[in-house]
Amino acid sequence: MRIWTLLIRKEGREALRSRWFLLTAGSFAMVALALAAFSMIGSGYIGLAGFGRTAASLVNLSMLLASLMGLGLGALTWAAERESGTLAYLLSYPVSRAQVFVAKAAGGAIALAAAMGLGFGVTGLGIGLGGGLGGLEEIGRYAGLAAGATLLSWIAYGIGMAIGVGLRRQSTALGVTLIAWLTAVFLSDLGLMGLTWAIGLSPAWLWWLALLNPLHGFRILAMVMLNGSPDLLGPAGWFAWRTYGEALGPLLLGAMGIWLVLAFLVAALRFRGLRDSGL
Amino acid sequence: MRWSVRLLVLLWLGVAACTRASGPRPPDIAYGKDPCAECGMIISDPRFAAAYVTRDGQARLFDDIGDMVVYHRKHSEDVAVFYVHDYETRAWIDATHAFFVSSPRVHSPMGYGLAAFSDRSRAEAFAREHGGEVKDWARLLQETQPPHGAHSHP
Amino acid sequence: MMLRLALALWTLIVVVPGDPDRTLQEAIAAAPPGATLEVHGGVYHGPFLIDKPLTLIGVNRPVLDGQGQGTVLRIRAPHVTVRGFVIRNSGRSLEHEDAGILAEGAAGVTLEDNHLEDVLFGIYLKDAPGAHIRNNRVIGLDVPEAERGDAIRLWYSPDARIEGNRTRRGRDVIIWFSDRSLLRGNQFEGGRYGIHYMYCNGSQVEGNVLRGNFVGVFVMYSRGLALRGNRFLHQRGPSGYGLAFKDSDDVRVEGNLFLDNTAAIFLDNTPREEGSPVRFERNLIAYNGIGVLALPMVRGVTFRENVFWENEQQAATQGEGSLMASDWRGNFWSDYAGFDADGDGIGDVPYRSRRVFESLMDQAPPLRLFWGTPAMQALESAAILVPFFEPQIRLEDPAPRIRPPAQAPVKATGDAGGWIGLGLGGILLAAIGWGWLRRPPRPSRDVGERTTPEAILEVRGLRKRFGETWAVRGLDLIVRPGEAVALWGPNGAGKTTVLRCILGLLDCEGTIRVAGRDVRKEGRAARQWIGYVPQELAFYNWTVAETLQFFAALRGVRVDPTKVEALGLTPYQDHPVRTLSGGLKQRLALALALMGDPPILLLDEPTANLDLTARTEWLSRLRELKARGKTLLFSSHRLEEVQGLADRVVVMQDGQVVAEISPEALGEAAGLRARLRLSLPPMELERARQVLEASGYRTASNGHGLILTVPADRKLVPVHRLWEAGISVQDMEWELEE
Repeated sequence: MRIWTLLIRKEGREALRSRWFLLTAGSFAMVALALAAFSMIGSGYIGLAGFGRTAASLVNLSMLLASLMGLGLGALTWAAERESGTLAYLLSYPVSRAQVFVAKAAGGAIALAAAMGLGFGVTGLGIGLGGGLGGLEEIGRYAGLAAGATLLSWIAYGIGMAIGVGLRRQSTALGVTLIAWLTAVFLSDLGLMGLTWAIGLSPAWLWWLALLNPLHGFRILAMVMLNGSPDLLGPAGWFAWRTYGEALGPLLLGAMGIWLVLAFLVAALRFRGLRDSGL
Repeated sequence: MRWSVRLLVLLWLGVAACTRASGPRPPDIAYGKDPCAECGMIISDPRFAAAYVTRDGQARLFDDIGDMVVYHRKHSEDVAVFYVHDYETRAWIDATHAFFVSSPRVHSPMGYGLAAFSDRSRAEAFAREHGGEVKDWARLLQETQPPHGAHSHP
Repeated sequence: MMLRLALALWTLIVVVPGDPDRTLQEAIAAAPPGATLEVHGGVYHGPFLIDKPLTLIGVNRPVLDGQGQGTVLRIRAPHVTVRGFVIRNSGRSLEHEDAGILAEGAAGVTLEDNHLEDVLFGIYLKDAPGAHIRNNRVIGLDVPEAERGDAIRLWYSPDARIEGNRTRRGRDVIIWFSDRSLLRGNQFEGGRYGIHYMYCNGSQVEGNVLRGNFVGVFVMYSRGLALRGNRFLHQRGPSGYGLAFKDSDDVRVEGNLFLDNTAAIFLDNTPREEGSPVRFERNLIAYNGIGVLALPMVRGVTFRENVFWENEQQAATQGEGSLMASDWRGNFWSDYAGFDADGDGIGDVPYRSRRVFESLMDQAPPLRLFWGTPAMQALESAAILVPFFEPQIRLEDPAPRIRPPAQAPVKATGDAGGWIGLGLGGILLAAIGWGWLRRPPRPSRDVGERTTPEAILEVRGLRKRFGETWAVRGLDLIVRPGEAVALWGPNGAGKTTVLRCILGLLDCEGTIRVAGRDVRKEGRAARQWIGYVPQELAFYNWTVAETLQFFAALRGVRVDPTKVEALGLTPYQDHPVRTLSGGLKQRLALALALMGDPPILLLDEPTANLDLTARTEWLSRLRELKARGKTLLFSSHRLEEVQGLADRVVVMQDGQVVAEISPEALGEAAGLRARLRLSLPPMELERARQVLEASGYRTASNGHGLILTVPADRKLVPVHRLWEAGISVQDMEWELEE
């Protein structure tokens, strides 16, 4: 047991020390705080009721930054070890590969959860000091949103780890991270938009294609959590609501769960296969 | 392709995803979710829910048999089959072969007071018990008008 | 009327529960018309029927229990008053519309201060004009929405006053065929349609709260409605509207609040008659998905002095079309980007709603899925920079307000304490996570007993291939406890590969056992026996102390200060490892390899990174370790290392063992020649060359030293010659020639 905590701590510490992590987590907390402040100013006129909008902005912020944070952290963790040759050295100790991998996953996940906790915590505190937006129900939803965003950052971390295995240089890892991020956030959506516009994808097709992107899983899950249904997503959202109804929340959570498992599984398999040239 | 997309524009709140099966089948209605194509209200009560399927496979759902008649009158789409529910068994039946009781004592969602039955004897029994008259589909198409407060007082 | 009132006051009948002589129903039957029944607290089992004008007053909230049979209380006479009761447990039949209270054909009924629970329908008025329904509470059945009845239902019951009631979890509040109703100060929550008006004329709706219904108020086929000061809150869902109109005329909507609805206002064919006034004034429409949603053919609606505040879409059509046929002059738009140069409070450029993405959605409505995503916003921004396509103008306000009109701020409850708690909770969690990760490593596990077998290391049939080339092709090796074995051979002979296979870093064919444990199956247990010093030292970016602590803990031991001291690392404890010199790093690596006292040391080219003096010191350290009983296996291509340390030399070439010999025999046996690189001071370079050439050596210069080839066992001879000539060699490197 000790060996596990030791390794998890080591990986978490490495994550917390990484410049990438400090940069993205810091930006996340700052922007989230700014959002809270902004919505408090806005609420001066109509009263403290703008929770929905603040939450919607936080959803987008999480899509942009939580994913970037996780992807980068995951991809860079291998390259950093690789550049310093430490991974092979670590494995020469009486530890198993599985331990090293799980520790890497768990340590990074704890660091990410800490970052999201800090970001959402600071924002929640800001909202509270400003007088609050809504009551217990909103607070519950906000906590749910924070949990969803953390889950998203974990998925991104898993994907980052999966694509980063075997990369030799941190600069390469950074490049790969940015490409993956741009693809997830912009390119895949623009592609889907183009496809929908040009050939008239059916709502069902569009729904499933969009759900291939975990960012959409998170976004729609957040929407279901905040509004009770995907009420402003047009025919695709309507298709899903009509077909799955109350099961939509669990379905989306399941889709994110699959992503989480898949990402770490691929990362683990790639790491296991990494014997000869990669260490 | 484009055309069907445009149609969806009109109907993104109005119509469920269309099914293109071989030969028309009664559409399934998600009660409590699907809205009526005519009035936009959510369809909750299967006893009164109605639907038609056009020849190109589009389904239109209604919360009241009267709304289906009125909607069809306004849009004159090329309909393959009109469906209504049997008031008692709640099974889909072909509207053109159904018998309808028009009674102010039937509180249908949009106030048309129409109940459908698959056979004439049950319709007549119902009409005797609750008042009202039995009509066939052709008469229903001709005579159905939105109810108005001042008239048709029970 | 006065007479009747007087009569009623004359006859006061007291009813108490459990009276064996007279049930409540009997008391009702016996009471003269106009009498007042004072019904005392307790449970009365119904159903009940009131068929004459009576006043029933509950004292201490008596309960009328319908026992799940039909309607609990049926009123069939005019001027009945029912006040202060709990009415519960009606039948469950939608067919028969079982209700809590049904007034049928009864004018002037007054229902006040009653609590209706567990009832299918709540209050049902059928042909009951002039009813007063005040301060009642209706809580519907906890069943799926399709199986619920209406909380309040008016059917051909004009001139009703419905005030201060609260309903929860009902289906709808239905007002059909009932003109001139007044609804004031009610609160309708969690139903399907907060209020559904159909075929009603001349209704007033004031100061009500509609919260969390599918639709707040839906008005159909009606005229002459005024809605003032109502609050439409949180009507969500794909068909969630705050206030919706279909086929209605002559409507005034003033000073209402629309907050967080899917669409705040929905308009379908309203006004129905051209020129009929439909006016929205001074409403606050904030934080909704869509502010105003209209079917494309809607025209002639007037919007004045409304505030459109941060709705995701301020106004939209359902389907292709525009809102230009309505009058939008003089509203406030929170997304107005114009200016007011003349300071008259009116923007100098019109407010125009025109978005690229909206136009795209018209053509392909499923695109709405992407509304508000970063990708959609990027597209929208790109379209502003590069106007590749001119979107249609949706609506235009020629005189938008610069500031929102003065308006009483909405008091929405803010649970500041809860938020602060949540915020602190999140930060605390982060801090706990952070703190936990940063705690210094503490070992606790003891290393298990180590029984020493005959062969401490056993390698059999070891084969390893990288791509097409074999790095090791069939190697057998036995190392006994306390032995020091050198793997000897030129670069590329496969020495490092062997070591890495033993450590399990590489997947190799054959078997490797460390103290009897198979490296592949029990790698962790095997590695407990091994301390490893790699050729290329790899450290995390930590301090010396952190590094020592971590790797010691990994072996389940504490840092042994005497070892740290012995290796001279104590003064460097707090230095980051990356600032250490090569020699110190090597010592640190050895210190790490010795943590937990593993019996075997694997050393890969142990002196490769060291200068001459450090090398000597290093070799003496290793000799000392050997003397203390450690088993050493090291790779090397330096003769002095091998000769100074090894008991036995395994000579490798091209991945195979070519000989096993004693270190002394190594030099001659192979007839090996060494290629020597001598580092010399620049000014001595030329003289040194002359000295060596004079002694019969052929030399070449590489700029800061000389290169020469000598018999492998006589490497130090040229150094000695130079020393005799007074030239000191700064450093010396050599390798075997093929």
